[in-house]
Amino acid sequence: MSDESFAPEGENGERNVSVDEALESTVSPTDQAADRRPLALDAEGANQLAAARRPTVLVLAGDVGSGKTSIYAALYERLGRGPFGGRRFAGSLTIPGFEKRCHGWRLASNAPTPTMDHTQPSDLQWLHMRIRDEECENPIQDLLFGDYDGEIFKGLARGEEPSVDMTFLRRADHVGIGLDGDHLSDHSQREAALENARYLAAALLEEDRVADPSVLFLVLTKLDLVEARGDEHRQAIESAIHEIAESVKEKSGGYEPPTLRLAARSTSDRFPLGHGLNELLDLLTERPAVHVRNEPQAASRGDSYTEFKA
Amino acid sequence: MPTPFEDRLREATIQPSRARVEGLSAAINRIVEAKRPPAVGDSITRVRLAFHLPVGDEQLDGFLAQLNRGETAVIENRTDRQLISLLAACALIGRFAKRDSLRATAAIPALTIAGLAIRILDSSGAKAIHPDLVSSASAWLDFQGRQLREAGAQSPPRAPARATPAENQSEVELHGMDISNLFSYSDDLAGWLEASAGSTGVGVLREQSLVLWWLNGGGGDTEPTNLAFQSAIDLAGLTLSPPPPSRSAFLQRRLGEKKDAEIDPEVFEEVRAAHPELIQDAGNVGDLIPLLHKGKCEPMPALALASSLYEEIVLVRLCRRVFEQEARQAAESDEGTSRPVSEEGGEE
Repeated sequence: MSDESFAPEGENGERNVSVDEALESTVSPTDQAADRRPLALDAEGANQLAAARRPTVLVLAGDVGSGKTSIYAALYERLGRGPFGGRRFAGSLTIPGFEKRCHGWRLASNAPTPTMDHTQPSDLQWLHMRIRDEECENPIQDLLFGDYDGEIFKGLARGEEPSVDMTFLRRADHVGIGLDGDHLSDHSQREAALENARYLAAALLEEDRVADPSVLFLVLTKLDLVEARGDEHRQAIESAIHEIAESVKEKSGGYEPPTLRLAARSTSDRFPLGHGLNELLDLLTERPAVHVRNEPQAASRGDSYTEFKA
Repeated sequence: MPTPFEDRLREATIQPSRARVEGLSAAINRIVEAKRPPAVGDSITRVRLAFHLPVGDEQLDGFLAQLNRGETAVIENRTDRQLISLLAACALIGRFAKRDSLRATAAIPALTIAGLAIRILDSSGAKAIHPDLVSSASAWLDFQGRQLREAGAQSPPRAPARATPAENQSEVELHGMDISNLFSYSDDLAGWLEASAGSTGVGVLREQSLVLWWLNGGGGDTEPTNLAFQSAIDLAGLTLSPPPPSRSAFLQRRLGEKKDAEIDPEVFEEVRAAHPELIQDAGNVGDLIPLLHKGKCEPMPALALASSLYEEIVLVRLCRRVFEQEARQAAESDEGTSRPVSEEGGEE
């Protein structure tokens, strides 16, 4: 701290400050608030948020580089440009985290091509966003996005002991199984990608892993790359999606997972920024929250009169 | 495998630590295992919290004090409304799960009121913080309703038949068996008489008889909305609390062919206005009885209206009795008599 302090406390009771402190105080309150915001929330931060309000929790599960983080970032960027899919952006506790993720896409990054850094195991996982319907008739909805390193889902698909506490999956209202459109439309990688997705779906459907099979949905990423490779690839991918959906249906006792086809950040004019994300928003806002239900002991055996009639 | 409490806790947490879960679980267990039965006011506060309805500062402080009675406070922030609501629901669910003890019997008035309020709010479209609360309340009400009525439903014990002689059995042994059977019969008979002739047993038999006559009366040509309203009032006047599990079937029988007729909200408002006594002296439970209090209802089948109204009327009458009793106790207390300590506020 500088020694250049001002005179002692004035008559009006103002505290005398150093030059350094005076300069710091010129930062606007808004900036100060933004500075305090974290890149993302850790488990404790997410717990604090959930203790105050009930956020809808979305976790995208998939291999490294399958486009999970891009989807979260594209959602932030698209809503930042104005209302989208009938919803508007209503704030976030983790704006710096979204900005950091979007940075590689922007000219300001000076990158030769748009890039997205892979999520690292050391990164904080929970991104927060608040949205509201465009007409502002319904209450604001809190969303929490679990941005986890793809390696942990790879391990899960292989049946390895998880290196992190994965109980967040049981809390999730929506769990998307990411299908990498880039890999699926490549002959040399298709079978491996398909196998990974199939094993991941099976691992997620293990007992006590998720609250209910109905939290699952399939999400095909990088649709722009799929389309660019032609109809033949597109048809092969559709049959692969159908196959995975059938395996989920078989293992979950009849639940058919919905499938979203996204091109979150395409360079093609055919797919504007956030193509398909409106369907993701529909899924997040219109499907009710999933609760783990526990039936009470000796629940009602029904109505005596009905029993008597029977 | 996660416990039911851990699963419910996920509604207000994302990844709680083991210590946090154990701390919250201990706080709820202290409330559920408290020696004193729950006070009616406390139960109503928990219902309000569990449905995100407004509660007064004093009531909220009271609940937080109950939660934070352990070595370390489990709730430090009053704005943790989601967690507080969830813990209120867990405290109720824990109480509903305790059924076979003397303490469970002492808790019947408060839990009947809480259970009815939960069912009414749920059927009016209000959302409980966790669906287990509604299913637990319904299961508890039905269980208690059955238990209460079993006293009046017991058949008298069958008289013993004469012992049949077996091979090599003497006459003296046969007489001995007969006498032993008679003693056993006498014990069974005494038990049956005690159950049937006690105040509860007589009340149950009276209820059965009154409901039977009422059902045979029929609804006549009354307009469906009026009939639904009147049927709910009548049945609430005839039945004991907790209500019989067959209440809907009784109303269905009474409404006959009109059970599916859509009610007229205007007629409903007129009939309600003609019965101001239903909501008089009910204390501050207006938001727990939406149909009677607001006087406005959506079009619905007559049976659904009658069922909802029945529970609202029973709830209001129970609350009124409790408030009168509390007023009497307060008056006695002023005169120097001791006043009972309420629930979890008391010693454990």
